[in-house]
Amino acid sequence: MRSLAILSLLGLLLAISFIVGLSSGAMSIPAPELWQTLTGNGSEPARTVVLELRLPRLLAALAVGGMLALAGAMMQVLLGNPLADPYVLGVSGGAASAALIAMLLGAGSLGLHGAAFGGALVSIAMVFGLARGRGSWTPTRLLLTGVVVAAGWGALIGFLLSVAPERNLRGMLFWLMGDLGHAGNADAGIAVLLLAMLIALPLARSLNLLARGELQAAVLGVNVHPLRIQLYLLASLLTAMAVTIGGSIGFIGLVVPHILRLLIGSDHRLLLPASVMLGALLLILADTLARTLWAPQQLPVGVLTALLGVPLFLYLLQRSGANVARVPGP
Amino acid sequence: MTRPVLEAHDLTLRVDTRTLLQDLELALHGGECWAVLGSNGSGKTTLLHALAGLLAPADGEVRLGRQPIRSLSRRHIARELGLLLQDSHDPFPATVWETVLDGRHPHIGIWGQEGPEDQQAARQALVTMEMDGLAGRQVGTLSGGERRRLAIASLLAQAPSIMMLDEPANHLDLKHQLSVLRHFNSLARQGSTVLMVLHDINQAARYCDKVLMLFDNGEWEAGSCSELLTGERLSRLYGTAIQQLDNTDGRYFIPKS
Repeated sequence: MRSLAILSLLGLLLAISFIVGLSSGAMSIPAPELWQTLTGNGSEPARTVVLELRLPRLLAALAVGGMLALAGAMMQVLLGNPLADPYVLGVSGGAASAALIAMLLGAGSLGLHGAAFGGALVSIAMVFGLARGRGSWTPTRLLLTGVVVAAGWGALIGFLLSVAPERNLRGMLFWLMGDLGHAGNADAGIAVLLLAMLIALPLARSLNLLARGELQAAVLGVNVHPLRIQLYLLASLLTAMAVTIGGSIGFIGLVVPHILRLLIGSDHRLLLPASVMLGALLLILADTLARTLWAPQQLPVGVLTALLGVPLFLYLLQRSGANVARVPGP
Repeated sequence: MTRPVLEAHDLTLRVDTRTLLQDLELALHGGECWAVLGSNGSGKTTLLHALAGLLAPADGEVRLGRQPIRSLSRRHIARELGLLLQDSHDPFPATVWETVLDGRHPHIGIWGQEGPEDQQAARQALVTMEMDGLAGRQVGTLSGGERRRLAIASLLAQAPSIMMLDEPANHLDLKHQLSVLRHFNSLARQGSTVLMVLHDINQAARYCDKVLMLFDNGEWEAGSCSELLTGERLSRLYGTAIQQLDNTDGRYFIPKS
């Protein structure tokens, strides 16, 4: 009952933000006209703006926000560490390095997306292979390997930025801070997101146990090793897809699951779908602000996610103390 | 005699090159309450993990029912065998009620939700551990002893017929130590199998009928408490002189100063 109410509320907010996103921008389109446009009766310029510019971009924001938040919630359990986010294992670093190289080589949009996805996969495979080493595959080893690999990518990105010609710098910087303006394939993102949810939801109760440590989870009947591999691959693929569509957009993956843990508790059966919705909501809001705040100039959406997320998170953390989530007792 | 519910054959446990336990032969039956005694680092926790199928032994095997435990799924094992870990840790916020309900996990299908009987089992476990007033509290706000009782409540909610406890008395005040040990003793009388690592010899003598002693060099002895618990043997086990006092109501052990 409570879960349904929370998810409905998030759904409602998501729908409202979607409508606001469609109607606001350089050309403001009021609700009645928006309705006409969506039902196929609007004016020609409104149709172009809404259906060809804003709608794909909003769908991309929805997909990327949802994917990053879901990946974040999974990574935190996988690494047993509340500080983990989708980028902590170097996935975005690999994607960014490859994308920047593609940009320097003058690749088009398709080449850029392909390079980003390839770079992310290479990084995933590297961390996965190296973290195993000759020993076992522990959360600490995985985290350390990921952080070190990410630092390596960071250095490569720094190198690429410093040798890049002046005229490429702005585009590269935008990509590094997240940019939904060139998002092409939102459909693929939404498909990946739905698929990931289908795989993740049946695992949700096992995630609750894994959050209490590997041993505790195993004792209570969770087959820990396969679960962790599934989580790793799923979270990495979500991140790779998100980075490919929108560049490295920070903060959503770290902050959204935590905001929800503070507000609604840590039951992943509710936390996973709620994270997807709040992630989508936050990114839609951030992207709409990024388009309109400084219009006609656009801001990198990563700047806005952090500007929105940081105060919201700090406020909730301040207010909460330790005694936050209230789940009805027996 | 009935068939053993859990058996260890030729069980050998090593950490690096050190042998903790050599060729253990152990058979646990329903209705038995076992104490595991040994000094620090003698392999008590490692043994419990091996008996629960959480780690592969260097040699030998553990059988649950008739089957090798390493061939069974964790879910299958968790329905029959529970293990109270030495420590619990909770990096993410959770309430007492959520945590105790986690114990029901092996009894609920993948798409299933906790039903009335799961709620009932969890509620009963909280009442037994005198934690029912704290159900809505965050685990992070509990004291060490309350957390320990919560972990025990989660095991009771799981309700396996074989219960292994790694130092159940940790963090508990005397009253709760006694009530916890009394409760597991009574569960054994009702047919469960209980195996607990204890550090207090007198509690072992009072609440357990069987004892497994782990010596430092991989040697072990298993048998009834009345036979094995002697001052001489315990002195050898702990490497310190322990005196045995026979009283009308039982046998007591005190360290010699």
